[in-house]
Amino acid sequence: MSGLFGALGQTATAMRAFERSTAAIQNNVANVSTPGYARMRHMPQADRFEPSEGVFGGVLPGAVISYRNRFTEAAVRERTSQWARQDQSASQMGQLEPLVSVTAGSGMAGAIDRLFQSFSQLSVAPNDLNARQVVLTRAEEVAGSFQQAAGTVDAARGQIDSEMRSTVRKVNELAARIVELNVAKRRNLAPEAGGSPDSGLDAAMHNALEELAEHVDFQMLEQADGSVSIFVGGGQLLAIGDRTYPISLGTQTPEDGVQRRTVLNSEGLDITATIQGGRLAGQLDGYNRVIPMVAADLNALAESVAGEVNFALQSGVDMNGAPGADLFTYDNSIGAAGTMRFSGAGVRELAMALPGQEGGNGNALLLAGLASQKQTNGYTFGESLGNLAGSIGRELQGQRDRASVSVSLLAQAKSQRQQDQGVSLDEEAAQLVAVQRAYQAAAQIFRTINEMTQDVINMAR
Amino acid sequence: MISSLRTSDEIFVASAQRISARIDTANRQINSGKRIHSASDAPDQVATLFTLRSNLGRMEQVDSNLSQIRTEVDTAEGALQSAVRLMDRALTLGAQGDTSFSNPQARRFLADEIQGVLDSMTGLTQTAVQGRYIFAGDTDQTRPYDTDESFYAGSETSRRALHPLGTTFAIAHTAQQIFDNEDASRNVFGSLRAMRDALLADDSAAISTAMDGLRSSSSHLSEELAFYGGAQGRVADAQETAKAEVLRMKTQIAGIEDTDLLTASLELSTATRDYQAALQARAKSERGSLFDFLG
Repeated sequence: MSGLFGALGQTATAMRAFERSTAAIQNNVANVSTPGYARMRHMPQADRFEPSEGVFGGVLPGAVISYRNRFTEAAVRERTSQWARQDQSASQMGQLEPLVSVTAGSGMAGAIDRLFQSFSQLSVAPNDLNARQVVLTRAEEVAGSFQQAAGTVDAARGQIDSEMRSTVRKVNELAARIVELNVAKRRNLAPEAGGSPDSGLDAAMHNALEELAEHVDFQMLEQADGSVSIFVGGGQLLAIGDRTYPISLGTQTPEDGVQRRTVLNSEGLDITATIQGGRLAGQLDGYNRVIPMVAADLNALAESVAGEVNFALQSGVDMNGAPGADLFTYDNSIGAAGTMRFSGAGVRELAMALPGQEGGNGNALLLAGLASQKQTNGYTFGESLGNLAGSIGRELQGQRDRASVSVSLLAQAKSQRQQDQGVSLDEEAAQLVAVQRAYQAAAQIFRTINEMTQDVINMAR
Repeated sequence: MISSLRTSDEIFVASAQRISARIDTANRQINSGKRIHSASDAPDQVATLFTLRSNLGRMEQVDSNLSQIRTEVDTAEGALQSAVRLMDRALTLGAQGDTSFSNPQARRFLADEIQGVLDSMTGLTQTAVQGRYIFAGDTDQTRPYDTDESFYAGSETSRRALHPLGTTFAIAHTAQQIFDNEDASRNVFGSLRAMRDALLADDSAAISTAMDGLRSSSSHLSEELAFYGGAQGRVADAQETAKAEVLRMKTQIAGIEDTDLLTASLELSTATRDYQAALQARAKSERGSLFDFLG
């Protein structure tokens, strides 16, 4: 009789185990679309079966295990950082593409061509005041086009700087979020809390980590208590346990006078060189390398155009027989392109003649010839502009191609993660049917044992 | 970014965006007729495109300049033709005065006619094109000779015309060179004045000597006419060269930046078909799960 009662108890325990399995399946199905969720499975345990000793076995409720795969998670984070960096770089370069317009007659190229064409036209009638006025107008256009280009570069620099500040703020916010989750996880695993893992906390943690990976590359160490420690770049501590170590932005102005942005750790040390992935790496590269390079090329071209034209004008004579006035002013120390201005010279001050040949067109022909003359860099003005446009276009095309490849690699990594730890409704349905059948069988056994017990009781009456 | 889409959906969306971008690019190329709208469309060809456009603009300006110069040169040549005809008349008048049948009264009349020729010659020096005195040298805003043909108010000429291939060539002589040359045997004004004065003085010997002067001046005028004829030829040749260069450059530019309509149309139809096929395949691949079949 005691065996029958024991069997009843064991059957009830088995049904409790099957209920837990059902709950785990229900939780998986409910979270099929939840970002960051890894499927969980209840693992019932077989009890000891030794009838000779009166131990009749059965099934005990077991642990609920998570299928989260650390390696595929790490792969997704790494691919996310790579993609984010490429995407950021492509976006930034896209802002610079309008700098050198390829539309015929527009932008700096069109303005420069028209200036030298006006010199050429003036060579036919060098004393024509209307034709001289056209030269002055074209000079204003050239100065304006360079100013506009410099403005585009400055705007792009400002945009990247703003995004960088936002990214650093986001990194620190995510670090704070991770630390909150660390505390919650510890509390959840404490004996007084029941000590079982929380799939919701786990999903929130991995979401935060994946979001952090988009902003900056990092390494993660998982502790025994479920909390994580975060090290950005090459090992700079960002968060551990219940503490964060925020990063910040700094400024550096090296010898070339161009401001650079740096990333500082919580102790104020420069960790810029260690940031290799995420949007922050792309922003640092854009601000510290790409923008200064483009600005330098632009300023060199502006200085070359203005300098060569001014020099040629100074070498000739104007309508009064005096050395010609400059057509442009600029300030190299700030940047020739952004500071380039029309000098305000008058129509009579343009030196279209060579010395001793007042009224002649010798200097006008020399000025017109500057358009096809190789400068000190080995290229004409048009070729220099074309090279600048080409380098921007090539860089942008390359960044877009790399971003496209990164998207595919990221998708592959996510697909692998989905296979390893995602929820398959088909699998959950099959599991549910199996658990349901097992529950029905256990219920049938319970009924049978119950009837047997009743029979024994009836016999005793 | 965190997304609640399934991975297969994310891959599909990314692929669909790529196909959509191909459609947009093909559409833009067909609508605009241009293959290159930004530097990233053809980064390896942008530098060449910029150089060709710069050269084309320069060449078109040279061609336009040559058209203006041609007007000047043609006008100057016409003036020289008139000068040659005037000189022929002066020779005729001089020949009349050089005969033994001429009397002082007739010679005075001939002298007045010679003065008329001299005045017309002076008038030719003031030939202008678009307000510029083409025989005044570099000071083209100044009349080379006013009423007094003995004083040249212009200057030397240093101006040259630009040839499309980068060289320069002379296109003008000054009125002083043409009509008032330092070399007495080439001095048109001097020879006319000498004939006028000889006729007024009724001096047969001087008239004969003046006739020699007129003949040598006439020869000089013919040489000047030939110079301007040569200048016309050089300008015409330069214009032909400029036009050929313009055509060549335009063809090169079109080869780089113009849309290949056949290729773009094929790309558009292929990408559109791919897009529709992708959408249809995606629609058909949507299926439920085992839960749909459980009771």
